[in-house]
Amino acid sequence: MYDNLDELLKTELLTPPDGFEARVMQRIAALPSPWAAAKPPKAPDLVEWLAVAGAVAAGMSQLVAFVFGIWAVTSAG
Amino acid sequence: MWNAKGPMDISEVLQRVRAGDRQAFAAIVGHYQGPLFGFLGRMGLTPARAEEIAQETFLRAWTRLADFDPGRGAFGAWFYTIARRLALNELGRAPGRLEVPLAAEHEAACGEPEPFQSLALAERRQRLSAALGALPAGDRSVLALACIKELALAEVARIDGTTVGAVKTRLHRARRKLARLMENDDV
Repeated sequence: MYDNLDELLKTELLTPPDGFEARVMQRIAALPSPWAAAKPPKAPDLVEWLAVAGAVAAGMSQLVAFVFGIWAVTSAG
Repeated sequence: MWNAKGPMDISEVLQRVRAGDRQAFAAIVGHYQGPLFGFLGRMGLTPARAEEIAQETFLRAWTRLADFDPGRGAFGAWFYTIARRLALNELGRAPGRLEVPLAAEHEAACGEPEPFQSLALAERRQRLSAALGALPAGDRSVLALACIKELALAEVARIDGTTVGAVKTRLHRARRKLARLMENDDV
């Protein structure tokens, strides 16, 4: 087995070239702020609340109709 | 300003960037550029391609900085996930680029001849590069990540999308194959 493997793997095959950091920062200067690009969380608007309320009302009317149907059948028998 | 090799308070950097101080990101670039190039070199990328991928990694990290959640893991693991994906994409897109002799291109890219004293180092780099190039990309990626001091084995596993056990198996296999390749080269 090759004995110096751990030592060998510590060898840096590549190092950052001169001016790398400056080049990256130059390109970043042209980009928008990460937080400006991220969309703020949207508050639920009135239409969404109305849709939920309508769905709840429709569901409740179905439930009342079902209960009334059972009562009507049992009281008629 | 932070020392490139010293500890870095990532939450402070993020706060400063969020407050509009773009230059604060330079601390991240300074801190990660060395290990990132080391990683890309072990992945088998040529110096020119490595610089492109390194730049792209920092640009993507900047663009997605708001998505980083410290509660889900360390910044290093998040950062190297981006780097690994870009490097594997690059290797998958252009496997032929591995054929370029690393030492020769390194010399050309730096624009300076290798000093006589570092000939042994240049030769060692070339041999290691050739041996790493003979490993499958997945094994090479795990080995290259494991060489980054900042990353624990659990973080390597998370980046690789696998378990610590699987990473250990891959590492053992990669190291054995690498040792065999280097040994044959010695003969």
